[in-house]
Amino acid sequence: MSSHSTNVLGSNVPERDELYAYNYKAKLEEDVFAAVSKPTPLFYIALLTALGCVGIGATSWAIQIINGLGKAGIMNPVGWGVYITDFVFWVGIAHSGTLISAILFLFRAKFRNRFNRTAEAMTVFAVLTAGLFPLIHLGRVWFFYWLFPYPNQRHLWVNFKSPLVWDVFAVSTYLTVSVVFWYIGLVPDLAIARRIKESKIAKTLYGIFSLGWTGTFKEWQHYNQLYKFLAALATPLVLSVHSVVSWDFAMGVVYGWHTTIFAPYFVAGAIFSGCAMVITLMVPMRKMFRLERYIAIDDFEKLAKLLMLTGLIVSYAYIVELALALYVGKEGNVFEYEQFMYRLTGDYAWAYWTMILCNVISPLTLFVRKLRRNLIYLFVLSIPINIGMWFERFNIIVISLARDFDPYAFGYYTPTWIEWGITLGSFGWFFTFFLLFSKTIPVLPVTELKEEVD
Amino acid sequence: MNRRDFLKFVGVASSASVLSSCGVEKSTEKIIPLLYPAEEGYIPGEAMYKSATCSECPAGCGVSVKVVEFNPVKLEGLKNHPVNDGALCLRGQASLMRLYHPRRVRGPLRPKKGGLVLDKMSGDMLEPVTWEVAYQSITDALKAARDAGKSNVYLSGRTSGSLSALIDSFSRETGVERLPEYEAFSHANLRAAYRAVLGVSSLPSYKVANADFLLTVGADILETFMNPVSMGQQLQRARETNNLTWIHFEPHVSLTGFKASERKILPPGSEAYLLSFLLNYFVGNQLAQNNLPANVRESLPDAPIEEVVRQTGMSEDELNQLAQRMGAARNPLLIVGGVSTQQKNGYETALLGALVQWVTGMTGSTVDFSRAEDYSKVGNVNDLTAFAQRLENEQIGVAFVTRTDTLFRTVPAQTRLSENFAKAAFKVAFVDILDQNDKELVKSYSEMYDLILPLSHSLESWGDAEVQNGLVNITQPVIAQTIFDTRSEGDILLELSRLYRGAESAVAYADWLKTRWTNTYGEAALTAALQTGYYQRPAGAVSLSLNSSGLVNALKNTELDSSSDGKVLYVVPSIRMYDGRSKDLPLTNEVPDPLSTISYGQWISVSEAAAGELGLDHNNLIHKQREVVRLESGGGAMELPAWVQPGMPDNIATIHREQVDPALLDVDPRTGETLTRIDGLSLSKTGANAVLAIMAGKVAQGDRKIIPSGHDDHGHHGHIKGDETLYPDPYDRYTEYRWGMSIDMETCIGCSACVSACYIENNIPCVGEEENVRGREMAWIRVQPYYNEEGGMDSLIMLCQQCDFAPCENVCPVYATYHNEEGLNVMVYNRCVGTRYCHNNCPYKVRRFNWFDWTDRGAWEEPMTRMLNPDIWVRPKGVMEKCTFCIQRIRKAKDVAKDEKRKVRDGEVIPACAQTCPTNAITFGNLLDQESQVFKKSQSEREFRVLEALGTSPAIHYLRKEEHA
Repeated sequence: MSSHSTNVLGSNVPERDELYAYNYKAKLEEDVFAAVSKPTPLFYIALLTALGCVGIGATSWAIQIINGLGKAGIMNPVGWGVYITDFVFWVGIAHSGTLISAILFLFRAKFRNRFNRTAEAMTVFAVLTAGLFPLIHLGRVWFFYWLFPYPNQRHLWVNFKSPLVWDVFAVSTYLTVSVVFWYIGLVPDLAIARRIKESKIAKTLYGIFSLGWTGTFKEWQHYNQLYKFLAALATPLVLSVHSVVSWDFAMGVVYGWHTTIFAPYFVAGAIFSGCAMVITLMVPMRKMFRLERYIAIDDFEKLAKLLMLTGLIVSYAYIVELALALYVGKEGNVFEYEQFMYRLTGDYAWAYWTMILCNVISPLTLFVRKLRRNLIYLFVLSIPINIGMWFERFNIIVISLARDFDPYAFGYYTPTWIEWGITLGSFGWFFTFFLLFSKTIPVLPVTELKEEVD
Repeated sequence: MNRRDFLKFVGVASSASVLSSCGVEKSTEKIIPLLYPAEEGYIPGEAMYKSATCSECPAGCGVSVKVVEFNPVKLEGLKNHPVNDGALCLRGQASLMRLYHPRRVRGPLRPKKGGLVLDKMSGDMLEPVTWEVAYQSITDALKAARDAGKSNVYLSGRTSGSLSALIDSFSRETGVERLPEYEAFSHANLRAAYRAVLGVSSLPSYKVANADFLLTVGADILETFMNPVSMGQQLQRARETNNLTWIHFEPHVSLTGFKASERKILPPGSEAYLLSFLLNYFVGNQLAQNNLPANVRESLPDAPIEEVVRQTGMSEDELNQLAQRMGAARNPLLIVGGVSTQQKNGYETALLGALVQWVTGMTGSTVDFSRAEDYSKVGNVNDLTAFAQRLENEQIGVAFVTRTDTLFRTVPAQTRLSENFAKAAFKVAFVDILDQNDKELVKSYSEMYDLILPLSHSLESWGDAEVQNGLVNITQPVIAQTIFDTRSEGDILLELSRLYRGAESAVAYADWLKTRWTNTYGEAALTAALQTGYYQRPAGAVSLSLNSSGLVNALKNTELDSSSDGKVLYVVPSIRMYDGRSKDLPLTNEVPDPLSTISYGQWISVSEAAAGELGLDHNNLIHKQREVVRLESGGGAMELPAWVQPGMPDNIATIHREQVDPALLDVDPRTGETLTRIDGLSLSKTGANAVLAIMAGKVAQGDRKIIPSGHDDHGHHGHIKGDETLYPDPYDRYTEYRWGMSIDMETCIGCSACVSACYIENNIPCVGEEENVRGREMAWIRVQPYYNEEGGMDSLIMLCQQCDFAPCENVCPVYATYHNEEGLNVMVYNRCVGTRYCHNNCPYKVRRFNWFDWTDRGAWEEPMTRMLNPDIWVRPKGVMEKCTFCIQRIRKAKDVAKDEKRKVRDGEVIPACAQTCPTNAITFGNLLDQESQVFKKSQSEREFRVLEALGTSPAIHYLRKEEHA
């Protein structure tokens, strides 16, 4: 048996772990549940920090609700600012989860098994975070339920022509399907947890959530069918959700928004940012939870390649937008032309070039094999990509609105501390969920990894 | 009882009760008790209209006050009034706020003197006193002054009519000397010139309406000069009937200049040469209708043609052409005034102007003294200097100061009036608004005055004003009770006079007035006058003759040359603040200046080249930041942020009158005119930046063709139902009405009266400087200045375009905004959740979001809630709002029409903006009615719609400017 060819992990697990591989299944359970069980002081510090951020966000929001949206920096003509930027950012983050778990599952891309649990958790929490922003940005948040088509005595109905109503359905559908898909995948692992955990409360809770899973052949048969079915159901959602979000803009008349390429452009951007976020989360987690044996450099390299691909698509979209504006030129469409010139050279040029640097230039370094196999480099790179993707949405929303048609109504928007506070709060909110997840649910799909060796 | 019986009983009982509740008894009536008893003809919910006079400037526009449930809620120009015929300017519209101003003085006040140490530490304070104490202290002071041999004086702003007569009788009875009245814009040079030329002390009314050629020199006739609303209306009439040509000469830049058919820039001081040339032309070429006597001709200042050419920078040909055009006109009119008569040779300019008017026969025709404005009691700055001298010599006992600049902030510092004023023994100010939270202001008042008496608003008391010779405006109290413990000036004077004389019976001013009116006009005329709001005597013929001896005298001390090599600062009147008196009104601050679009704050306007020379970095700053420059000249210095004003000559800078340091102002000793041209200006960059509330992102349209240039006939003139198109006809949705508007950019003068009217009509809050800087103004209609490269400026009135295919409508998730069957893009405020998607998707950016609860933030501080229009809601926070063509007025007209079983007639609905427009630039009506004015205008050759290429199909049809030869 040569050292690499038959390695069950299909990767570069060192030879001295041959023995380990022999006892793989038992060790896997042990290692994964070791990560789940022991909250360290560092964990509590992290959790408190995250909760502190939630507190800041909640206070900021309370101030805004009491006083009015004027506490934020949005103004005439920039009616949407950091909040909608945050919304699109988090929806984008939510994207790679379903991509990794559903599409890669259907394509039998085994490396997804290292990331799918975390990516799906990330998806669920990111959607929960994103879902807050449409509420936060409402002028009268106490009437948010008017956005739902519910029967009422006054026969008031929602406007199905409005992309915002499409959003309501797209995001809520996505949340439902993501939660169901994630939970179904969890059931066998929860059953393992029920078996391993010793405390009575834990046993009971895991028992309830594992739905009485016993691991019979019949159960596995149903489970596999359901999982495949859900994966197939979730796949179109990957494309549809962000397409719908992009239509919030593409359906508008504002130049910089009104573009047919928006749907694929946004989907690619979402996968791009989602993969970056998975890397941001998984690299430290692999280290902290000592999962190096199960997640290999090769797996990360595959993610890095996905980053490269989507990064190139996004760069292409930037070029298309710009090239079209320059092609029609000042004579063809002065509004579009000046909008893009303003992006390149205007008041917000710093934001535009930050985006270009982060999203176009920096992923190109991944063409160097050495760099994309360097986890520290990948981790460091993933952060500017996240920042760059935030700025991409900021640029689309803010710069387009700052200068649309009427020169009299040009304006300059600067966010206030309320908006930054709520943005910080959204990160706190996301990480609170994520930290709790990392200590309650196996961060690797134990059963799926076991399947690999069978 | 068994079960069957029970069921029978129940059946009978229930069917009986059902039957008895069917049908309506004949005696049944709806009883809706009145919240207010229907007294004095007030009907709850119904508006009443009463007449009054606007007091924001001396023009004397007639006002019709809309009163709903005892509260005046809107001012409109009085229809058919000889001065303003239904229109009102932006200050006039805003002046309703003066009545309800939360900082109104609520009772007599006096400085708190002595007292506890703690009081001292908290700074100067004003304490309330009762009217009895106030009156007593005045009568005591009057008597003490009389015993001490000092004079008591009465200084007021321009007063006319009955009040002037009352002041005279009060002065006689109490031995008070009535000083010449003070007006910051006293037209002293102009009056001195007419006195010298014609021997009259009044100002003529300029009959622009009758002219076919108008030459204005320096006079800002559309902003503050004489009666701008009337000027605007007359211009429009003259354009329609006489095909008027209007040439405007000015040394600086003004709104008036941009709206003239031709704007010409003259170097400072060269106006006199231009007029001298015109005079020589008419006299020399025997074209004069009235000749000058030889002695006058000899004493005329010498202005050889070479010198005229050198000074004015115009070629001989240009000068001759101008004179020929003027000579060829049947009814020419020359108006000289404003900055041109407020400079060192301003008197000469005015004299020459009056002479040109005389020789060309304008005097008596287009320069009409039969409807003159009486300025005989108005003094000049020399009178104030003399007064200051008497104060310094401690000759003054009691000084009353009323209805004028009580802190003398517009009075040139060299009069030394403000520094000596405190030397009077007892000073009484009659004040309406005084912000007692403003420590500086309170300090000034407590240092300068011993007593502050609160004046009632003119809408709270009876009164009249003789605005022109033979034209008396009658003012009725429209509010049952004064809002605060205030009194009218007449009542105060009558009471003081009674106390001083020790007389028994008190007379109310109202009774005094009625007696006077009855005696003057007779019962019948008085009743008629009360109904129409004014009393007009037929204009008597005035015989005017040249006052040659006086003229020769006046021409002795003249010096034509007043040119300047260096930079010149012009202190110009502001269309928003007049001389500063309208500064206290929130709305005059909130409505941006039509030239610079700056709402709050102070600034200096300089040219692009001057800014470059100073090294001002205005292009690289974010939109609302500007560099601060220091301006110095002789007497004083100021530091102000600089605004680059397109069209400004390079060596000129302007600053508004109410913003200037009085130390910078000079006086002409001959006439007592305040010189608002300041020579020897030096500007320097301070390096500091300041935030300025500039409302426009840009004041040029670049290549955007918002206003299409030239004549590209695209064949889209309006829309006629049944027009062939591939798309569904938007007009299929409309059955009876499609409300639309046309705005004529040829006639629009950019005066912003429409903006002001819209604020009042639609309860739009004034949000203050901080929010303006944030870009959160709430205006539903705005005046967008677009400067072009040819040196001109277009004012584009931007409001909701009520598009047939409105981009805002389909993005609203809750149908809060939708299209109604009359073509209006209506807004259901109650349904709005505030996504602001509609605002983002509106290409015209005319939607306004309520970022705060403006009521909480003091937009309607008590008692300002009383001025809210009850026909429209005050929008809460988090809700989008916008123009809906004054839908409340449409509803009202439809109600009336429905009662009369007919359709709404053309012209029956007039939105607030169109109603107040002096030039009728805005026409509103039903586009489905092909007989309507608006439809006809929409078919004009000049018609265009803004951003039509977007396919929004707006209902506002703009008419582009006519091509001028």
